[in-house]
Amino acid sequence: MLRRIPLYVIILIFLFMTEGFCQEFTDYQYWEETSAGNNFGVGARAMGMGGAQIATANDASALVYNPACLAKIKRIEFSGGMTHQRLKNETGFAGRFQPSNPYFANESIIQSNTRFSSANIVLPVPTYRGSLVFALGVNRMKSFDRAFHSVYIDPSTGTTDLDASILETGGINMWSLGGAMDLSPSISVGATFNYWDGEDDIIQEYYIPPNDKLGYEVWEKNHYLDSYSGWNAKLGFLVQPNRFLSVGGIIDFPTKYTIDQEYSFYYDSLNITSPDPGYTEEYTALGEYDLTHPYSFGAGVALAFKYVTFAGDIYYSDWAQMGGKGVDEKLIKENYQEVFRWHLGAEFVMPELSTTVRAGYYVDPIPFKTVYLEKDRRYLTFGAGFLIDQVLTLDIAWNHSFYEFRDDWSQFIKESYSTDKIFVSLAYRL
Amino acid sequence: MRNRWVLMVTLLVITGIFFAGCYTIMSHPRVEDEEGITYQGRDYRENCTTCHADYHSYPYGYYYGYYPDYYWDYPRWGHYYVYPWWWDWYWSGDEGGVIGIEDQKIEKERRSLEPPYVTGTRGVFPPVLIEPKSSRETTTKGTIEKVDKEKQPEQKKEETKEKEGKIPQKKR
Repeated sequence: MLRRIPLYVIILIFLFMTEGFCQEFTDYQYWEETSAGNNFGVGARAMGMGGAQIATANDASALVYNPACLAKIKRIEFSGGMTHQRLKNETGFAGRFQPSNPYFANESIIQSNTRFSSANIVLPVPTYRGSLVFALGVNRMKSFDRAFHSVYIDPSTGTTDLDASILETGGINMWSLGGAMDLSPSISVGATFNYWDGEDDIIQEYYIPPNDKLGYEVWEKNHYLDSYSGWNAKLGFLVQPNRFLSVGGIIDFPTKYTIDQEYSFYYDSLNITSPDPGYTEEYTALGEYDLTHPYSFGAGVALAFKYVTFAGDIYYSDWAQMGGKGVDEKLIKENYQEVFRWHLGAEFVMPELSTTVRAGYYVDPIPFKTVYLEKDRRYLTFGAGFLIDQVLTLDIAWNHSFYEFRDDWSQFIKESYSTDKIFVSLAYRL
Repeated sequence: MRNRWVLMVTLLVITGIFFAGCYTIMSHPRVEDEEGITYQGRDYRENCTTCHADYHSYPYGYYYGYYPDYYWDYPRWGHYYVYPWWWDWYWSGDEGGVIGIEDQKIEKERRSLEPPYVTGTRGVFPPVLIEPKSSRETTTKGTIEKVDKEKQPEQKKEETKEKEGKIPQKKR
């Protein structure tokens, strides 16, 4: 269950070790379940429009956003996509006041990952009236790629007291089988059944150089490897009351995960003040727990004019309702919250150039409670699409986000993340 | 408890859809006393107007959706997004008993978004109903060639439909 120890917890650990522990830091500690939230985004068209797709999806990504939109697809489609993410994490002094006590140096770490992200097939069935469409595919839904590096310096000596790093990689893919049909000329419904599968690999390392106060030199390494598997279903509808307006909605049923956990621990300390050789400990452990995500609801609206489409979506999830066998539900209720995630996007078509340009913006709030969240996750998105020879589309999107944790009152420290994502999708319609 | 309610309502909606019937149908409903009749139309669904006088005011079989006018000016958009793949068989091939004419293939494909019953340079031919065990001696092709293009039905209704926005205004 323990997924990531943020900066504040590292402070806590260090202060425990230096016997400088202050009671107020107990409030800083939180536990993070990585699979809560952390949606990466699927499809270059969608992510160029800020992910606002519930009412306007028109390709295989409808499997992810609103299966009812599959009913709009009239040709057999094969599609695939790749993503590239560049994440930069900065930790250190917040900048308002120079602390007189030991403080964190400004450090940064960059993590880059290029990944295969989606493969889908859409199969419209010939109909005499209405629409009946099936689709299947796999899409990378959640990304756990993250990095963290922090150095704690004693200004009185100028020496490094703690060097901590966290490297996390992995993600969860969703294998989907879905279908959609028209209930009337203006109403479509759809459903998907999803199998979720993925891994989360976390390595936490701490190093305390030879320290006269402690009298020890310390290495510690924690390695978590969690394998996720689960299933759920999603229902969606789409209504087009007139040629300008589309309205959609989805219900994401709870995902029931089984998580197999492998944990290994290594600790080595060297006594620098006595001939005592120090202490070494190493062990591994296996565990398993069940986790059920809560319901998620989404609604979207799209306004389509001659060359321009505007779209907006909103999602609601109450992460405090997570639960499961082997999970401390009390801890979850104390540390998680309900979240509204919203997306805005626009698309402008230049038909004579067979080109579409897109822009969007979305807010994906962090699902856990923390008083140190200075700026929540906000994404600015841009994209372009090209229609080639009436059978092929190439879409590209770029997303940029920034969010930050900050303690301006006691430690004057910050933990900030900036992320750049590139999405490329290619679709061929027979 | 709340989860059970959501699940129950969802199941009721799904059940209702299946038991109430559906707008989407895969093929034309079976009509009594017409099982033996063979329809030989030159264009897709042109026979429909025989029984459905309101065919042109209701989107039987045709993509019912709203799409922008530029799909007509730049047919590649319409071809990619709204033109059903199974219509390719009717436009350019002779599968399914529909007669293809070589010299019209390219033109038909280029104008691929056009609904088959829209009148225009290609024209719409009235349906030809071949009675079973008919004494008429005719080939399908021969029958079609006898059709008088000037006697096309539903031109007026088609114009009305274009005004309603169900079918984009065609460029000529």
